[in-house]
Amino acid sequence: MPLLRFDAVHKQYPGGRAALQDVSFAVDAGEVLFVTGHSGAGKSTLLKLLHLAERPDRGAVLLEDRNLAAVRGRDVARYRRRVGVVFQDHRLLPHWTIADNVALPLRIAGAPEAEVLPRVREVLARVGLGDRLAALPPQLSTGEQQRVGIARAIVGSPVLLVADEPTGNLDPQLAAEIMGLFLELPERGTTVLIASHDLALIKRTRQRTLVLHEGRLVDDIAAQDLAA
Amino acid sequence: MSPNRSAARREVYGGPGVGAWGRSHRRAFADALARLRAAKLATAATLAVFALALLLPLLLGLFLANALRFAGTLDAAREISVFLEAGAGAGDARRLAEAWRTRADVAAVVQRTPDEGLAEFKQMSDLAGALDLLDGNPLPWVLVVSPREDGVNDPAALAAALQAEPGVDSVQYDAAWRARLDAWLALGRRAVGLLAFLLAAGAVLVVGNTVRLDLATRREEIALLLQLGADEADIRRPLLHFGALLGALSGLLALAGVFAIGALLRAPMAELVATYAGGFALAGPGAAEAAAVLAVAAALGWLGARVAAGHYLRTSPPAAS
Repeated sequence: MPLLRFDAVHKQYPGGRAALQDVSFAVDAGEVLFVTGHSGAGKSTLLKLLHLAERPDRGAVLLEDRNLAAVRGRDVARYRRRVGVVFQDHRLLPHWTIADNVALPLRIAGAPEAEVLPRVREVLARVGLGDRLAALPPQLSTGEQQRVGIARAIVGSPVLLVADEPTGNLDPQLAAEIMGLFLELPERGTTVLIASHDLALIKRTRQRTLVLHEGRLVDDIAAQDLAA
Repeated sequence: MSPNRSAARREVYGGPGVGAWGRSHRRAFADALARLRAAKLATAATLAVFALALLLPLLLGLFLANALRFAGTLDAAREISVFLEAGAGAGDARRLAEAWRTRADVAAVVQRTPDEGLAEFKQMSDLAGALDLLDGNPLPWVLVVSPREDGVNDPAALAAALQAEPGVDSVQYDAAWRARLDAWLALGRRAVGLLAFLLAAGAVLVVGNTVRLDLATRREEIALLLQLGADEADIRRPLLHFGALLGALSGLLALAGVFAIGALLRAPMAELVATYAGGFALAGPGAAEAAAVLAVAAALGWLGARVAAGHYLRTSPPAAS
C-alpha cells in the first residue's frame, strides 16, 4: 500500500487557470521524491494540498489511505503535526533561540519538557548544529538557518516531509549538504517530497522525479532513468 | 518504521491526554509571563487603567457598605422620644408607659429619668462644667417609644397621637431624614452597580485591545504555529493566561489602592462618625472580599483576551500556507 496517493486531483484558483489538472501518482513509504517544473507548473499547489493549506476541487489526496478531504476542524492541526514542512525562507522566529525554534512542533504536540531538549539536541546534532542551541537565527548563515528549518521539520518524526525549494538560495555545496540530510530521512521512517526547479541538483541527487507542466503531470521519471 | 519509532510518534502526536493538557497550560502561563515582561510599558499602562477601572467601583462600593453599616447604628432614629411636662414625676411616667405599651402600634416603651438624661447630656457635650453649676436638674422625664414596624402602622401618626396625650410636653420623631437616607442608599447601591458594570466593560475592552495589538504584532508567528500543527485553542491559551494575569495583577493594585486610601481616611472618618454615633469604625474589604475581587478581575481579563482572540481568529486569521 502506498503511503501517499493523488487520484485525479484537480485544483483551480478563483479567476485563474487550473493549477493542477487530473494529477495522479503514488508514493511508497521511505521514498525521496522530487517534484519539478517551471514557475507556475503547480509544484507549490501540490505541496499546499499536502499541508491542507488548499483543498482539491476534484479528485482525492490520500495519506496512509485516509482521504484528506475528511480531515476537518481540529483534525487539521493533528494532521499537520504528522507532516513536516521545510520552507524556502526558513520561517524561523528571530527572537527565539535555535533550540526553542526546533522545539516548537514538540511543544505544540504537548511532549513532556523532559523529552524536548534531549530530542532537540539530537536533531540539531544530526544537522551539524549541536553547538548552536542558544544562538538566535540572525546569528546564523543562510545554510545554517535552512538546516535549523529541516531540524524543526523532522524533530517530531513526521511520516511525510514536504520541502518547498529548500535549496533555492544556497550555493551548490550547501545545497548538496542539505540534500544529504534529506536522503538520510527514509531510514528513520520519513518519506520526503521536495519541490525544486533545480534540474542540476535533481540529476545529481538521482531520486524519482515528477515533472509538472501547466498543472499536468507530464512525466514520472524513475531514479535509475535519471542521467548522472 | 521500527516499533520504537512508532511508539515515540504516538507519544508525540497522540490524543490530548491530561498530561499534555497540563503541560500546555504550564507553557501558556510561562508564555504569558514572558509577554508581560517583554512589553513593560504597555503592560504598566494596561495595568494602571485596569486597576483604576476596578478601584473606582471598589471604593464606591466600600463607601456604600460603610454607609449602610453606619445607618444600621442609627436605629434610634426610628424611635419616638416623648418629653413629659416639667412637673411630671415618676408615677406619671410609669402610668403613661404602661398605658402606651398596650397600644397595638407600640412595640416597646423605655422610661428615661431626668438624672439619666442629664448624665447622657454631660457625656455627649462640652457643657459638663456649666451643668454642674445648676441648682437642680432641668430635664424632664422622657419616654422612648419604639413603633411596631409591621408595615401597617404609621409611626408619624403614632407620634401625633402621643403628642396629644395629657402630660406630654413635646415629641421628637426623626423618621423623615432616616427615610431620605434609606432612599439615598438605595440609589447609591444602584448607581454603584451600574458604574461597576460600565467600568468592568471598560476593563474588558482595555485587555481586549492590548491582546489585539499583541496579536497584530505576532501575525507571522501565529501563522507559523498554525502551519506546525497548532490549533486555535493553542493560539488562544497563552493569551487567556495573559489576560487573566493582567486582571489579577490589576486586582492586586486596586486592592492596594483601597487599603491605602482607607488608611488615609480612617482617622478623619472616625472623627466624623463619632459626632453621630459611637462604636462605628471604617471597614475595608475582608479576605473573602479581596479574594473575590482578584477572582473577578482575573475573570474580566480572561474575558477580554477571549473576546479579542476569538474576534481576531474569526475575522483576520493568519494565512496557514
